[in-house]
Amino acid sequence: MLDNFLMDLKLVQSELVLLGGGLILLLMTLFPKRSKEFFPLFSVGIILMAFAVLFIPSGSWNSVDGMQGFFASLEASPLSQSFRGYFLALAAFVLLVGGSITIEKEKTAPEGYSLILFSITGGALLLSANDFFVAFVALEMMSLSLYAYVAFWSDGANAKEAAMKYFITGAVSSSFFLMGVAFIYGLTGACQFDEIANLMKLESETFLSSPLWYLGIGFLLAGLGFKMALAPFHLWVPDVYQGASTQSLLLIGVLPKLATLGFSILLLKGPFSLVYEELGVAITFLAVLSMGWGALGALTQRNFRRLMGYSAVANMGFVAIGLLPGDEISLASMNYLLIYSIGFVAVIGLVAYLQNQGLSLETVDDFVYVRQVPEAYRLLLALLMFSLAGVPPLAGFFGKFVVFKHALQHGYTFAVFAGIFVSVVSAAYYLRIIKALYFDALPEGTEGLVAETPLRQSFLVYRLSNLASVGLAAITILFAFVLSFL
Amino acid sequence: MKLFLKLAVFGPLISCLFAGLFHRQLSKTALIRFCGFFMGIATLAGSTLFMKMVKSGGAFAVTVPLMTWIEIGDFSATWALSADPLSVVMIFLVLVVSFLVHLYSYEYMEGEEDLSRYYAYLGLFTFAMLMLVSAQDLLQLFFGWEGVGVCSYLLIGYWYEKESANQAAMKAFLVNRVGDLFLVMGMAGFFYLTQTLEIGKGLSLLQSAVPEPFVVLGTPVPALDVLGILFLIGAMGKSAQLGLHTWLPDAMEGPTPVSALIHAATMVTAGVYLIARLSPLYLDTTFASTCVVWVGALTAFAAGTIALVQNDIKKVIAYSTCSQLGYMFLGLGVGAYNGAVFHLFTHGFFKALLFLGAGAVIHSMSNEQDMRKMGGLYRPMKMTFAFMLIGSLALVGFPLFSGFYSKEAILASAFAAQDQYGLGPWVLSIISLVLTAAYTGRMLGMTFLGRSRADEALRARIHEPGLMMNFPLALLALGALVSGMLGYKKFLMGGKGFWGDKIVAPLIPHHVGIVELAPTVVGICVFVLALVVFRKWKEKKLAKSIGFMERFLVNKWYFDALYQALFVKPVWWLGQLFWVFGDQKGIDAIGPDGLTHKAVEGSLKLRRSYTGLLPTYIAALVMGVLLLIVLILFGGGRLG
Repeated sequence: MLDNFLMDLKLVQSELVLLGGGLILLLMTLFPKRSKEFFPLFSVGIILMAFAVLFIPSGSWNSVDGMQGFFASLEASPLSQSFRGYFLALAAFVLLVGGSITIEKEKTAPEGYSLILFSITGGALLLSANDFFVAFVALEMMSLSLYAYVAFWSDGANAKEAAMKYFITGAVSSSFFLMGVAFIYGLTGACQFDEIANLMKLESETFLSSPLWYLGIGFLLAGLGFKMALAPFHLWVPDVYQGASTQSLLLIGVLPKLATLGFSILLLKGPFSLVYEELGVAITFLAVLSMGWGALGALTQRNFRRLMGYSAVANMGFVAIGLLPGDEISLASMNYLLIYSIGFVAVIGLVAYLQNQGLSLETVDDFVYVRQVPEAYRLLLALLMFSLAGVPPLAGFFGKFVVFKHALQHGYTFAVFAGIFVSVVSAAYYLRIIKALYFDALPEGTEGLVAETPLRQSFLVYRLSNLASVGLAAITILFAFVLSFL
Repeated sequence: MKLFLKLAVFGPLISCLFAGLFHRQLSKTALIRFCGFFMGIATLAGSTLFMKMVKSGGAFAVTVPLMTWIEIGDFSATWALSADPLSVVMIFLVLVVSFLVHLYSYEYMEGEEDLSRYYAYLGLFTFAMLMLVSAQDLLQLFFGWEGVGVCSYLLIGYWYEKESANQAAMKAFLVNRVGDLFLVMGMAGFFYLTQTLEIGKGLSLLQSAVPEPFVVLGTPVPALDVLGILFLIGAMGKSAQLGLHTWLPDAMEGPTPVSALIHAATMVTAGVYLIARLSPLYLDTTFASTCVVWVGALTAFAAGTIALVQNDIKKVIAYSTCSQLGYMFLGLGVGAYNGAVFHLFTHGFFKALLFLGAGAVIHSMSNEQDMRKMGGLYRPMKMTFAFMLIGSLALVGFPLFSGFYSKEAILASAFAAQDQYGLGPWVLSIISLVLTAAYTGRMLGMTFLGRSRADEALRARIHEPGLMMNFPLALLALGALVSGMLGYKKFLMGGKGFWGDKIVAPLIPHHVGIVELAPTVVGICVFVLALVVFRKWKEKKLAKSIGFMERFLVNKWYFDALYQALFVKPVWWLGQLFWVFGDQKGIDAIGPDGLTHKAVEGSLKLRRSYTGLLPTYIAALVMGVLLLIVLILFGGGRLG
């Protein structure tokens, strides 16, 4: 019994490390005399450790196939392990960039970082769930911690509004998810993925003819779509992106999406594999609506944060194209999301860094001021924008390319045409930022307006973060090539 | 010798790169010194080659293969520099004039902002011209041909703030393109017949076996005639022959030293060079040669008449250049290839001299080019007057001056060829000679003699040019004086003497008789008469003397108006049609503009409908779920 339990623990080693780290941080609230940069660094260390122990269960990702534990409520497969790897690596980057860049402007408290670590625990757990209840708990753990975190750092009306809206719409979407689970349980009497999959094989006729099945899947998709910011479940996005603190924005913008997408892929390949084929129209609908809505929303948006929000919606539409059912397991969507996320973190990180330098970068037009800081930042921003717009040979192009290739191979011509059309529209708003960066004239009397008091550069973390965002940008630009052929 | 050849050709390129790349790092003076240094080395190398060639009596030949350019199957084109008598003469002329122009520009262009651009263009031009004349391969020749065309465009439009300069540059480029098209067709025909673009090899193949005639519009035409005509039209474009000459006078919008280098001494002679280089081909044709003769004779005559009524000093010289190029074509046509090249050579000196002299006048008159506002300049500008006089006498063909020898050679050949072409071309050329004397005398008289017509303030500023301008003038004057005397024996040597087998060199008939003496005497008389008559300039004097012809000439034979109506307007209308109805109202309105407007409209609508209220969000969530479920239930399968 104990042996079994210890064996089972191997499945959750990473989560245990993360949880432990979070608890230690909570304890640290008792000793407030820590220097500010300790907490982000500590958290990054914890995440990296979690990433490292991910390899331990059997030495490599590839030989854990079908390893189950805790009464088969958790399962580790090569796919889920690699998703968890991406998730943790990206989380470490996000924290390194965000935690350090925001160190001066935003409150730093150990509670905040423990919330972040709990949220990441939830995400990692979600990716190894083999049971709807565990999945729901993990999802809620990830989301609730994030709601709390957004609210935790909410100064000003915008931030409070963001936290409130995020929480309430999130709660509704969770109820959708649960509703979906209920329908499926009602039909099959099972919650474990394996069990559902087996029942599906045995009694596919009965299931596939029952509307309950489709109702369940619809609600599930809606719940997951909310986390992934797919239209029409995305209305919270612009408000939250605008109001949230930089650190929260980085977290919200990247982590739940990655975890949810990974979970969706596992779900669609696992218990729902027989019905996956039938979801073409529904996913096309989500994809096209997201792309169109996002692109149109961003097109005339002046506020940079909101623009990035709509851009996120449009980008998730592309991810959804990659999710369209195909013959074999396709990672096109995951690949796209990874490339997009790296670009997103680099952009938001760079912009926040420049804001710390005293530049006001609220609106798109404000980007003319970037020419007041060293040229490299401007070039980097422009390259990142080109990458987001999908201009070859930058990473964004390969992401789109792989997604479109996947969709074309399986005959989703309409989605691809819509995607190409949206790419053109979306290029417009990225190019507008480049126009401000390079072509617009500085307004009169703003020469040499940069920061009278630039922030202290002495923090180790500060340098690290600088390095990290530059490095991320470089990765996006150069090594995307490798990523795109995963 | 190989080293000298390389130095001569690549010196200007280095100068160009230097001026283009390092203009930020160096001061203007230092930059020009470096450019002058490289050009000087190249010129020394070129002169050495020339001396060696003259001494050896044309016996020496060098080829420097650089690399293979294209190699496809049997076809190959190579980069190579080759020095044979014809190319060495050209290399020498190009480098000497170019070097002197570099020096001259130092003073003439002082105060210009981006002088480095000017020097870079000059260097690039010189390099391209040298590539052209040292080519063994028609493809490399074409490279140089296009290169000089581009540089000509750039230099004419050097003052790009001036609308007229831009238009002139564009015009020069476009008219040249017409000629270039035919040159390409000629090259294609050459390759079709010989399977090679190498000039020497191809020509010997063409000579050894007469190719099948081409069928043009159902009638067989000798293949060589077709080639000859194509190359002729190509040459006409570059050498500003009648019909494709309209760009040359306008090209005077460029700086004056540029006019001296490109539009008098070197680039415009490329056409003459091309036909001389292909002389074995023309020797075997009758129709093509006849065309060359008449093109040359008519150009000489027409340009001479127009020069008579021009009031812009540079335009007079430009039309004179046109007319002299006509002489060269006439010489080529009647078979005096050596005579034509000789005239090219001497003309290079005295025409560059005239241009640079005119530049000195313009410079000292504060950029005034109108001869009606000059007059009496011989007093404050004695040196310049002397130089201009030498150039004019050489142009008119005063005995012992360089132009005399070369022009006589062409006239004598034209007279001797009356069996083949009749006396028409000769008569036209004699008339042109008289015209030349008249407009040259008029130009000198209006500019230097009589009373000054400039206003007081301007008159006070008139000055002799400085050393940097006088030195090139003096050297060119020397060339204009002696190049004929010293050169005629070598250059006009018949048979395989100096020219080897590179160009066909017949024996130039030479016998002093009434036929040769009379034109010269008449020319000199007319020159002196014009000098005296136009000493005092009055409006309408010219009109009275030539009557109804005046409008015709002032409008330059209506060539520009004709082209405007025939080509420019229709093309413009066509372009307008496609632009307005095709692009603007068609493709743009439906495509880019229409779609962007629709997208922006949609975006604004979306924004207006945005409430920011939570109930809306939740309603949207619910609606979304319902839609999704409907789609899953009834959609099934795939869309699209």
